[in-house]
Amino acid sequence: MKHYEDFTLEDFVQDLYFRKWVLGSLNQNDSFWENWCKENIEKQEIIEQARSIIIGLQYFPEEENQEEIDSAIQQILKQRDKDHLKSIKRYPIRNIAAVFIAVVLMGIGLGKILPIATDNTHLSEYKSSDKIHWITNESDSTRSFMLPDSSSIILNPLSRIGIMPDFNKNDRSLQLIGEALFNVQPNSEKPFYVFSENIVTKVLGTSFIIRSYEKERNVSVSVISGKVTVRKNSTTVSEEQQEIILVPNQQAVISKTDEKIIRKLIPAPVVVAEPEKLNHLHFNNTPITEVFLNLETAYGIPISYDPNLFKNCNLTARFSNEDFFQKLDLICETLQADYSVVDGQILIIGNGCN
Amino acid sequence: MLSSKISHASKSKQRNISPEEYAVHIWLSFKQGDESAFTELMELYYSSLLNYGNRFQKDREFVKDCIQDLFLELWRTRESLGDVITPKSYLLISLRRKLLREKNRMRWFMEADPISEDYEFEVQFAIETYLIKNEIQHEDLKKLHVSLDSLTKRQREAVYLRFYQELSYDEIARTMSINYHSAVNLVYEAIKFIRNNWMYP
Repeated sequence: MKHYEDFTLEDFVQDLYFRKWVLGSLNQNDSFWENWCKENIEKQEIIEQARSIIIGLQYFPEEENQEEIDSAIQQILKQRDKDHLKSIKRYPIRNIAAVFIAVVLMGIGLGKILPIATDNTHLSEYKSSDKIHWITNESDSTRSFMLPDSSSIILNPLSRIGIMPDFNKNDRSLQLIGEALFNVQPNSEKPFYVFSENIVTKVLGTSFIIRSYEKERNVSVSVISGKVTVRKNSTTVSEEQQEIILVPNQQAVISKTDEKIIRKLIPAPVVVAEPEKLNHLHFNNTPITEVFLNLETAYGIPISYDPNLFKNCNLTARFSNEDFFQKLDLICETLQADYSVVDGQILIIGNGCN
Repeated sequence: MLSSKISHASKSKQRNISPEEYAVHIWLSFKQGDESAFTELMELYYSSLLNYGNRFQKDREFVKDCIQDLFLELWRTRESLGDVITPKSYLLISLRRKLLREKNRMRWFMEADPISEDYEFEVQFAIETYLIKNEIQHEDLKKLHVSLDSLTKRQREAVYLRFYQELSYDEIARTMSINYHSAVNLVYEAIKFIRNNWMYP
């Protein structure tokens, strides 16, 4: 129980219980203050002053316009989604403004998974060494740094990179726990390897992301530019080895449980063609084969289809900001065809045109 | 969005948690990337932020732009945000900084201290509207009107945060970048000032 009889005017003005009474928001059955005032008649003046100040210090909330607020919130959500798309497009190294299209078919790609021959010795060798130099990012934001060979790495939060002894001597080997983006300086004489959890990624080209968090079920490798190969890191010679080559816009997902490697497309493929090689994606009664070729070139994603079936198809369309899959949707709708993503490629299925 | 909102709301009912706990729960969900929690965060605090922002800057659209930037930044950086105990005061602080910074920038004071003392804080006290509406000639109330006008902007802001936004002194202190005792003093001094100028002219 507070000692209200000792309260100063300032204390009353600030007392929540008293304020509620003055402002009429107390329970109607609560007659504490009425009674208190009767019993403490000598406090009447101070009580009256406190009441006036509380009332005087009220703010009139401006008319609250719920419609205005709702539309402001919608606007924020819309902008957020837009930013999200933009950030995906910006991420990759080449940002070509508007491009593309198209589509389709064929299949396959399984042929790219080649049995692998040799060396799985790297990791075990390095593991036996205690001279790995670890770089850890425990901050809240990404951390970037340059390796001795001028390759650069952007290390995500809660991730670490181990630089092997003898890095850049005969080869360039790293260990990764967590997620990082690599921008590798080409040097065919010193292959660049990243060991993460159960896989080895060998870099033939330049820029890619590996995600390998201990807590996650899968490890993934996404390629932004250049080429990389991915294989399981296994020391059991008898185990059948799988190696796949990834090109831009492709992603390998490796399950830690069954050790399968699956080739997919990254969620938002980006245009990878050099600007000078890039044809604009405006089509005017253009043979579909040409459309698909332009699209393949723009995104570096193989499109397979049966040329005989589709040889009579033409497309008239102007593509601009649609993303890769939106373009595919539009084309397939026109062709009355379907597509599926198989092994990192697009397979177009339909009856063609007469 | 609607359905997820309902699910949040019913969650809070089931567990019978306080509004404060609920706010923290929403904050944590938002940090984990829950889109409906993000929307709810805005629904809970947008009007408080708009009202507070308007004290500094009458240009309503400008304030709305700043609030938009603020929420977009929060979404972008959600994973690295701390687990704040009171999302409301965190949002008020962030908006205050942003408004003062943006305002300075617009004045070309590019290098100015972001928390420059050079700001306005305007509050329409109820008493003014009350007087105008009722054409009351009461001397006492008129004097109160005058003395409210003479509060310093810091006193106004502290009083506003205390009685309108209902923040604790701790939160007021953080919002205004002052220490706890200064926050308490600002409010007490404001009340004392009103009393002295009003009761005993």
